This record gives sequence, C-alpha cells and structure tokens, in this order.
Amino acid sequence: MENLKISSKDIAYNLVHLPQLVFEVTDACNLRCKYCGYADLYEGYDKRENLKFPFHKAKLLIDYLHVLWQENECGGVVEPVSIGFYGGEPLLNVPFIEEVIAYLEGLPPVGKKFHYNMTTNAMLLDKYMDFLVEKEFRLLISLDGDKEGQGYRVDAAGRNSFDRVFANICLLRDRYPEYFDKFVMFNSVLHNKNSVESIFHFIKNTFGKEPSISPLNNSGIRKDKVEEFQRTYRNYAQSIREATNCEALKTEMFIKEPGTKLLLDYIYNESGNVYYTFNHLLNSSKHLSYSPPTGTCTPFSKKMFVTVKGRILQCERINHEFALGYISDKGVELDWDKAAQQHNGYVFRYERQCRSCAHRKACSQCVYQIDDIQEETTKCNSYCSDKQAEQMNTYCMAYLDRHPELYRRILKEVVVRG
Amino acid sequence: MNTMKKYWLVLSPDTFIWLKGENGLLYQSVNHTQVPFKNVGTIKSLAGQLDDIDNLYRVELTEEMLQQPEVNGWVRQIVDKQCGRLLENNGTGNRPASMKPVLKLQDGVKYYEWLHRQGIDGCVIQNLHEVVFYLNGSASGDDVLHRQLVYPSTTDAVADREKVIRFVKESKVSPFLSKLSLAGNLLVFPHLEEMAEELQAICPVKLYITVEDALNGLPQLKEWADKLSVQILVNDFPSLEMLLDANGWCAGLQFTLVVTSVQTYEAATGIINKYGLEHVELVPAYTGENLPFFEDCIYPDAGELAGVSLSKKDIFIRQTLNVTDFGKLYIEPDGKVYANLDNAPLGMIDDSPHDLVYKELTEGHSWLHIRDQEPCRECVYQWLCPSPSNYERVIGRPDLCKMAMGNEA
Repeated sequence: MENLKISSKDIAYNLVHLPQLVFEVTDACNLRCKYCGYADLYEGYDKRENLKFPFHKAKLLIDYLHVLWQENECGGVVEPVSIGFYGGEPLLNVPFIEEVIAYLEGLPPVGKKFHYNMTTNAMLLDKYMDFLVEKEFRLLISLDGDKEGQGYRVDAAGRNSFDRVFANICLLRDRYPEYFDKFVMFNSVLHNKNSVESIFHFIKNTFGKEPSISPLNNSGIRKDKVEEFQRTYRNYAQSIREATNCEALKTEMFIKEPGTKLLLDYIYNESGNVYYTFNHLLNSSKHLSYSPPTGTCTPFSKKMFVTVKGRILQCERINHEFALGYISDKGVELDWDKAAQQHNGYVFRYERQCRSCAHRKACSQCVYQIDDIQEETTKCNSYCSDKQAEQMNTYCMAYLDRHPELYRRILKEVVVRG
Repeated sequence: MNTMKKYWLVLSPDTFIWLKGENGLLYQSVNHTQVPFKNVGTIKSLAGQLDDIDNLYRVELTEEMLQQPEVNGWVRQIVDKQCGRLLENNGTGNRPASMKPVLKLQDGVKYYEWLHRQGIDGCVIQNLHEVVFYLNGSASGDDVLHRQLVYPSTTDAVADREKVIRFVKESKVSPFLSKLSLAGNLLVFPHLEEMAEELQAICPVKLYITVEDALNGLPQLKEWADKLSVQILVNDFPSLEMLLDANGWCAGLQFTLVVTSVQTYEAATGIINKYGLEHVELVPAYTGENLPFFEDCIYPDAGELAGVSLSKKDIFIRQTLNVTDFGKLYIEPDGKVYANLDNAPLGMIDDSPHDLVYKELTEGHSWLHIRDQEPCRECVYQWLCPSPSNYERVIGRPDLCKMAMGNEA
C-alpha cells in the first residue's frame, strides 16, 4: 500500500483544483443551541471568543490560491469554486463577506467561476436578504421543524427562535420567490423535541422543500455529558418507524429514507452497473484504481476550511487539532509535504483493518471522526466483516424485493455527488 | 385445490438478455457462455417479463410451462450455462431477485451540457487521453492507410512547432492524458528531439516513422530509441528486412506491420519468426482492392461471435462509447483537429483542447459512435461486436459482418 500514500504533488493538485473554500466568518452566534458542536456537549474545538475573521488574512489566502490558479490556468477551462461562509452565525459579520466577494470579483480571471454559499440560522435574514439574493447565495437554512421542534434553538435569553426565524423565511419567500425556489434549502437536526415525520412534513408543506435531516453528531462528546447527549439524541431510522404512516413517509422521502439509502449505496457500490464518468467506466488510469485506506478525503480534494483564528483544515467537521497549516499576519503557512505526511500518518493507522474490511472499496469513514484516533489500539467505526457485508447484501436484496421499482428509480433519478 | 408446482426462473446479474424480433440471446459475462433462442410463443412471454427491469430479472413458471419441450430446453440451457437459476416457489415469500445489467453513467454528455450552461465545465477535458500530432508528410506515406491507422500521409504541409507545444501545455490539465504521438517523416522535422523531450516532461511521447524513412537516418533513430518510445510502421517488408539486417539494436523498437492479404500476413509472420521480433502488432488495412481478404479473414462470423469473451463492463463500454476513438484527437500538419480522420474536422490547433473535447462530446460523430444503427441495432449480437471501426468507414459499409442481419440463432 506504500504507493497509495499521498505526496506534496497531490496536495498541490488539490489546491489547484480546489472545489470549495470555506471561511469561518465568526465564532459568534446569536443563538445558543443546546446541541451545537461548539457548545457544552462537545470537546475538541477552539474556545468561542466572539471573534471575527480579519479580512487581511482572507486576502492573504485568496492571493496564495490565486497565484496557484494563475500558474495552472488552461485555455477554455472554467472550474467552479464555491466560497462558503460558515459560523457561528455568518450574518453577524457581513462586512467581511462583502469584502471577500468584492475582492474575489475584482481579481483577474484565472479559469475559475466563484459562487457563494452560506448556512444561516435566518435570525438576521430580513436585514441582509437583498445582498444574498443579489449574489445568488446558495442558502442552507437551519430549521428544526415547527415551533416545538425548534425548541433547542434558543436565543441568549433562552427564548425559542422559531417566530422570528419563520417570519424571516416567509419574508424571503414572498419577496424573492424565484430565488427562494432555486437557491434555498433546509437543514434540520433531529432530537427528542421533534421527529423525522414532523420536520419533513412541516418544511415540505410550508415551503415546498425537502429538508436534509441529521441526527446529533455522536463524535467528540464530552465524557461528563454522555447521559445528557443520550437523552437529547433521537435515532433517525427509529423515528421513521414511529411515524403515523411509516410506509407513506418512506415513499415520500425516497433516498432520504435509510433503507432506500442503503439500497442506493448497494446499487452504486456492489452492482457493477453504476459508473460516475466515462473515465470511471474505462478505468484506464491509475487515478481511478487508487484505493487508499479508509474513506478519508485527501486534503483539499473537496474543500479547505479556515477557522476564525486562521487555522487551515480540510473540513469544518473535524477537530481543530488536525489543522494542516495556518494564516499568519505575513502569509499562508502551509507545508505541502508535512500536510501529506500528516494525512498519511493518520490514514495508514487503519491499513491493516482496511485490508480485511469488506467495505474497503466503498468506504465513507473519515478517520478524523474516530474518537480514539490518537490511541495505538484505535479501531475503525465502520469496519465490516465479510459476514456482515453478506448480511447487508441480503438485507438490501430483500428490501428491493419489497420495493422493486426502486432499482429503476435509483438508476434513472438519482445523482450522487461528493 | 391446485397443487401444481411453481418455480422462479431468475437470471444472473451478470447475464445480458437481448431480444430482437423473433431472435433472443442470453450472454453470461463471467463464464462467457451464450444461449441463443427463438423469441416466440411461451418463451417470448417469459423473456419479455425477464427483460422488464421492474421484475428484478425473475419470472414465475408453472410446471405446465416447464413441460413444454421448448421451454424446458431453454430453461435447462439457462441453468446449465449458469445464466440463471430455477428455484421452487414454495410460497414463503422468499422470492429470488436480481439486478438486470443496465448501465447508469451518472455524468455523461447531458451533465457536461448542464455544466456548460452554468459556465463551469472544467471536468470535460478529463476525457482527453491521447493526442496524435502529424508533424509533416512523407514520400513513403500513404493517404489510404493514414485514414485507418497512425500512418503518415503524403502532404507537403509542416506543423507549427510552437503551436504543438502550446496545445500540449493546454491539454495537460487532463490527469488522464497518457500519450502523445508524433508521426511523419520525423528525421526532417526541425528540432524534433528537442521538442519531443519538452513534451515528454508533460506526458509520455511516442514517435511513429515509416521503415523507409527510418532507413535514411539510422544513427539518429538509435539516439531517439535510447530516450523515447519509437514505433516503426511497415508497409514494405523488404525495407523492414533491410532495417533488421543493418543493425543489431532493434530491441528498443516497436513495429506495426500492415497486413492487406493472406500473402502479406504470411510474409509478416515469416519475418517475425526469422528475426525473433518482439513488440509487434499486425494491423489489417483496406487498400481499396482487397475486400475479399476482409470478408474472408476479418469479418466476424457466427462461430467467432459465439466465442466472444467480454465482461459486463466491456459490454457497457461498447454500449456507451467508441473503444477505438474515445479520448483521442488527431492533429494534421495544417493544424486541423479531428476526433477521427474520416470525419469532418472539429477545429484548429489554435482552439483550446477543452473546447475541442466539448465539441466532440456534444456534437461530434466519433467518440460516441456506437453500434446502434441499422442493421446492427436489429441484431442480438449488437453489443458483442467491436465498436464501429475506420475499416467500415473506409470500405463504406455500416457493418463488417457475415451474419446476414446477425441472426443465425
């Protein structure tokens, strides 16, 4: 497996073709959500200090990338780069966002087309919606369903944020219906004050959108908060089973339903009938037979995340101790060799387990989501024996037998992107 | 109470079923066995149900059906050749199921067109795998061969070196670009070695030169062969023997021997054996006068199609793209760029490789030229045949086949 280790060349390639650059605009937030990844339940993140990302550091990073992009520009090729604004609540630092966009749009063209996205709690949406619409932001609004479901999303005084958030979303929908239709999505967290059914139907019936629903993140829980976490946590599949009309909900949710999602993964990974691209089908290059241990993304192959303190990470979902570089007042400190070595060091800890894992060719386990990654005896959360894989395959085929139309629908209607 | 036994016939997910009128064919893509059958009567009804993707490749059979000799023989062949299984339907609900081999290519041309409309289409260029540059013509070139394989023409035009280098540099953004071919009378192309080395730093380079031209510059050829991959094109076998007799360093060379008749085939194999040549490919070529040779020796017949060994993926590839042409651009010395030299040019060397690739994928007739036209699309062997080739274009026939509509089952 030695030749599967990445090198500085891979880091360079990924930076040249970076699909997404995400700024942690501020670590401040105007809500105090109980289950927030930066709140009491979790550990492993920088302390929240109400900081704002300084524009001069963002400029240093953009200039650093722009030079790389300019050096590697090829005629006619225009690659999309998504510029993400993350929080805290990003709308608490709109001047920074405006400066970044103005700066990007003033740079000489280098074969990149920028578009913008943001996850927001919508508390300040009424104030900034004109700007967001003008720049065609892909907006992901966090809303946990109806007022009761929104119960953990409270302001500093402990008041439920639902009324204000709901009013702001309705205002956006009414004032900019085309934008709302095209660019707005919803994200909801499942917990013990809502259910998949209540979230799904509330948002679909009210706004005509199907929300992404996620359970609470079960990685990085503080040891003294485990009980509290367990009380708040609600299992996604169990919540669907408890729905008033479970089968109708499953049909409506299609691939958002866990059983159908499992079948989707099975069809994509095991049937031998699905290929992503012509090159994948031809499989003529070593690039596609590349199968390193675990499903961890190589740094910057999908995104770069920069914290409000200037730490450079490969994703916002991983612990800050795994930073690959940082932005100082003088410039970007990112050692490509060191970043590659760090990645190889963590990923190859699981090499032996991967060799005998039945999911090794379709793994989606990020090593940075394994809590005991620093321990010598660390074990992969997603290890799958041949027997378990066989059981899973049997389950998928039995599920397909009960819903035979799903094979055709998945082949025709589904698109999976990383 | 009806106690008649019932069965499930379920095909393997590696088995293809093709139904064309009264002809049917099952092809098992792991053990490469075939079950040709007449698609009539009860079998037609059963095969039609198997072919419906929503039936999960299974069909219910009654004992009465199985007692019909045609059905019984058909099912027995399916089971014996491991194209499928016959299981008793005991009514417990444990029905067998299988996923019919249907390709889902997620990001095909429609996706590229969608990206293009958004003004973002960076991934299209990744479909560029090889560029063939004809740098000039040659007195030993052949304009008919030039349309069938990598072989110099007789043109007087000479490529612009700077434009070649620029084109390659613009192409390197494709991580799948794996070969650059330089063809022509390379011995007279100015600063060839310098250019080839510059290109080699970007992508592996291969030189193509006729044996007649090679004989005019053996010392130079040896120098190139020490650094680069060199393919000698042979349409004149005495010249090849001269080359082989003249030096003892041919180990690094590779050879294309053009075969146009049974006699030239025998001559070619005689030389291969006499000199112990390695790295040789024999390539049949149409001369305009040797159609009988093609009909006798090249056109596939039922026996050859029955012996085909293709995997499921091989079949998917043939259903999707042209195996010979896909990913390749040919650039003539006058700067015209082609996806296939028998089709109209896509553009000029001054255009961006990205734009040329996009144009070929969305408007072209080469890379995605598959065997989906008459008469092949009415034939059950449609996807067991090779992709449409230059021979068909040069000969002017839509197929090179002895199958008389292909259905000899």
